[in-house]
Amino acid sequence: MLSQQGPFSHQRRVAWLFLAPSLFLYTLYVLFPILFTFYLSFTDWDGLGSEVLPLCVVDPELSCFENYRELMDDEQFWVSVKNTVYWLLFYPLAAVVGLAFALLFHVKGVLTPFYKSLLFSPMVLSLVVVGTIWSWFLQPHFGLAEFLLKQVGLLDPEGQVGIMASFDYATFGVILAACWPHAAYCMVLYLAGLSNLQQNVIEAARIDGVSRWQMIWHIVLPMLRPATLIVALVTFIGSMRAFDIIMVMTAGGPAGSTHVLGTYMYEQTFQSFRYGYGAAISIVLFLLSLGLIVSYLAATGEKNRAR
Amino acid sequence: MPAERKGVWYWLLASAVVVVWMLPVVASVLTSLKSLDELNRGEYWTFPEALLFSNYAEAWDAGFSDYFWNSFVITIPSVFLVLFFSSLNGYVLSRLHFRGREALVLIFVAGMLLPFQILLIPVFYLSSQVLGTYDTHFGLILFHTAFQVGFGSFFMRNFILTLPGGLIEAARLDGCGEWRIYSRIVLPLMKPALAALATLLFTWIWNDYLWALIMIQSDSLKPVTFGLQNLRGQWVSSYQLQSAGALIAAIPPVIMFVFLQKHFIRGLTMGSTK
Repeated sequence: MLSQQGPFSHQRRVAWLFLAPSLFLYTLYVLFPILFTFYLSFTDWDGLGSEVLPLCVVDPELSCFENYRELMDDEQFWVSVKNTVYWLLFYPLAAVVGLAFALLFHVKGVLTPFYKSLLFSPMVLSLVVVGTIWSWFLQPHFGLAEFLLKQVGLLDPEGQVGIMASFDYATFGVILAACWPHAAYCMVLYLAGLSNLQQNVIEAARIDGVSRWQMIWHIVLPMLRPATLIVALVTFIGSMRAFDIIMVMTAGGPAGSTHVLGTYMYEQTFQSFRYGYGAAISIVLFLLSLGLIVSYLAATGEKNRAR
Repeated sequence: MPAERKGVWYWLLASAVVVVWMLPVVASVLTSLKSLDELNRGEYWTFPEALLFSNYAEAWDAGFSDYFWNSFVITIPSVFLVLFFSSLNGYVLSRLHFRGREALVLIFVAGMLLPFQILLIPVFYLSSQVLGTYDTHFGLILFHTAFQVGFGSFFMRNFILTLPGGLIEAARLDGCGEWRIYSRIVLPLMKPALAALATLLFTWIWNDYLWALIMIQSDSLKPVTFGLQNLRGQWVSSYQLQSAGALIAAIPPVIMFVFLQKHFIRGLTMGSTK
């Protein structure tokens, strides 16, 4: 054995020794569950008992893909897919607001640190708290949103902000609430990006008399590309993970119209006790994320090479 | 872009933006101090007739005292466990040479990207059928530790890579063991990164709702987020109690943010680079 020991063999042993406890936990709670969810999606486990067999083993009449076949005919599933797409499309609104705030508040001033702290603060609130606050905010009859819209005349005095009761718009109410803390997060990332910009390019442009909008659009934004890539990634992951705030504000309602894949999966699993079916839904969510992440990495990798 | 000095119009606009941004918070603070009568009369957005701090006392007595304690019992050990494992892993993944190192880093990163709903059912299965940790704080602590250690290790690794390696090499040549190098040399140098990571972890774990929902059943064991959501069901139209409860739940992360904002913000930006 001695002959196999290179200069790093001691380091190798120590490395695995140090890694062992947390790697064990990580395998148990993160890596194994991914595979096990795949397996469960072929079963109809009801949450009781430790023995779980695939559908086609229990009942030879059935296909092992029965859960997936059923999904295709499940209207609620398609509503959840549609809402997941809405989250993907409209949650990035937070990134736009975050960028605007970063540009607006990247200034020197006595008040700036205080203002920044206030703007950042929603980020540390639990989404349960954010959801609770925004639920009243958007309430009909007495919500602040309705009050303000009436004050500025955008809504007649008898009108109502019924957004959270609407099958068509409730999802957008939830997304709006979720954007509030997320915009603060995007602002932090963009501020970090702004403070890393190369000053000489900006100075040169200023001396050349470039206008404010030209400066932002043609010089600052392209130079913020690294920050934008990070913001895009965290925004995309955040929209795929949406859960807490939906459960708190609507619990998927009214009539299932605000479910996304991540909450519909929970509802089927822990409220209808269809663990196998819930597993199939989470696999769809997982594959969707995986596809998007791979295309994101491919696209950004491509451009980085081209530069 | 260089930070510039601005005029009056800028400050008016900036102040207006901040005020609008904070409206939801202001509204819930006002609501939390009102009487139910006022709310029933529809006076939601006026200044309270009398400042009823008793709403906070009522919410506290309705169960928040226990929920609050539970949140600490879950959060504090989880944060320390993640800090310990992450700093150790970060050292191993940046300064020790062994095959499979880069693959491990990738595996940890992958865990940060996936939609965690895919873990729900197996984690429930493990805790209820296999490990017997269902409905215990211990089970939740183990899970938080396992789930956050991926991000934490990646975070610490990136930080240690920015440290000069000469000191470690010198100690190694002097025959210093790896554990001593980690605990005596690297750990003290990691302080700023540990502080940043600790503030992030505290916020995330304190604010967790989903995993408590999956792994905790007894009311007496619930953390404050889960408790708040529960009490909202009982306080259907008592918005003054709901808002008082929501604000109580927010106090620890807000205090943390007020005093350790610098670390928190640095953590967010450090965690997102590379």
